[in-house]
Amino acid sequence: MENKDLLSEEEQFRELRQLLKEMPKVDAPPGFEADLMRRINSEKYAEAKPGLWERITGFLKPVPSALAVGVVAIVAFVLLVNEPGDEIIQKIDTAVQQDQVASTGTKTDDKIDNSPQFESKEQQYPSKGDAPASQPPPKVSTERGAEYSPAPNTRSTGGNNLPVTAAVASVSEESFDKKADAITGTPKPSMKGAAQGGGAISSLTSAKAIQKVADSLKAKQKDTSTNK
Amino acid sequence: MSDRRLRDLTDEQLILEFQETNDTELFEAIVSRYKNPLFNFVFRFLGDRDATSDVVQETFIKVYRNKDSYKTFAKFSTWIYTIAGNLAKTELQRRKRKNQISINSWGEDEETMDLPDGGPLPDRLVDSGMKNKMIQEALLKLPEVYREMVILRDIQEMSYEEIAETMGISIGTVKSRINRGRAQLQELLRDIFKE
Repeated sequence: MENKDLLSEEEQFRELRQLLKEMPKVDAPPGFEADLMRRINSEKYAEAKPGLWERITGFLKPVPSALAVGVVAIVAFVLLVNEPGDEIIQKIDTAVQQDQVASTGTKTDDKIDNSPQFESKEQQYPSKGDAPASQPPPKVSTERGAEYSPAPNTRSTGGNNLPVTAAVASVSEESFDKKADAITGTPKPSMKGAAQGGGAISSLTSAKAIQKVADSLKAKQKDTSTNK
Repeated sequence: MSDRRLRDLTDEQLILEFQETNDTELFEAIVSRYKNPLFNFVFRFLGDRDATSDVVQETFIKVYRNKDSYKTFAKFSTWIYTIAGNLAKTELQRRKRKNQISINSWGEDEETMDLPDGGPLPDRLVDSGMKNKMIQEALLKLPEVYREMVILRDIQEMSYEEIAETMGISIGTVKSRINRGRAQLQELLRDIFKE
């Protein structure tokens, strides 16, 4: 039975093969060779010319080097803009300003007189003794906006209130704390960015100067009281 | 070079001499020998005369430009059929992508096809024409791997060894694929066999 099936299958394939063999042969159209040779000759000519790809790559050759130069320029620009020196200078300025706010009792927004005249003015009060007696002690405002109360060791002698001296004396300890923080690099939450690195040094020097002024004022006060 | 000498040279001798001399006459002799067999093979595979013409021309151009890549240990016929088969498959893929396969073009071609003179009666002619059309359509429905094998074996009458060399596969694989292809083709042509 199986052999019969195989035989019939073979027979069927034989028929199929015969059918395929008898199919008419399809020939190349007339002029095929002429067209082919024409194409080959034109391709020969095309070979001599630079191809489209070659032209594109030739055009794009300077692009990588230009890109590299551009990248280097961008990196250099970014580095220059974000140079750490600027930050340090900015921090120094902030630290000095905050120090002066604390010592003079003026707001940061107010224009602080950093010039040497400021010191000379301070020195003028006790020497001339014409500081207004009724002038209330200044309210020193911190950055947070809290009012500053005068320190308990503020002394008023003979109706001569010396607000600057009092403020300096009371604030001196605080400013030294700030400077210590600044030197160790520990930032205080209320003094964002102010107590760091180089800013501490400048504020330390200015605080020392203020301390000297305060000391000299105290000495002069003693002299006037003894004279009286 | 005389025509007689050209006729006497084998395919392999022609291509080797063409490699050495770059003589266009030798190349033309190759084209003359292979243009019709290749055209028939590619046409049965693609079913489109214009596309076939392009593919066969492309095949000869490849032979011309890459003549030096032919090695003496290979049979020239298998080499050129490999090139033509690959190009035909590429064309088929391209057309599939474009979804522009047109079986109708086969009908047009059939109308202009030369038929043997002094043959059967007009009824018979129409009948054989229809049969050929049906066979061609059935061939195009076969999977590519089977189609190529069946065409090479049963239409181009190549040996199993030559097909194996052309396709780069073992003879056993060739035989099994041809049998599967034949079985599928027979199933597709059931109506013809019933007659």
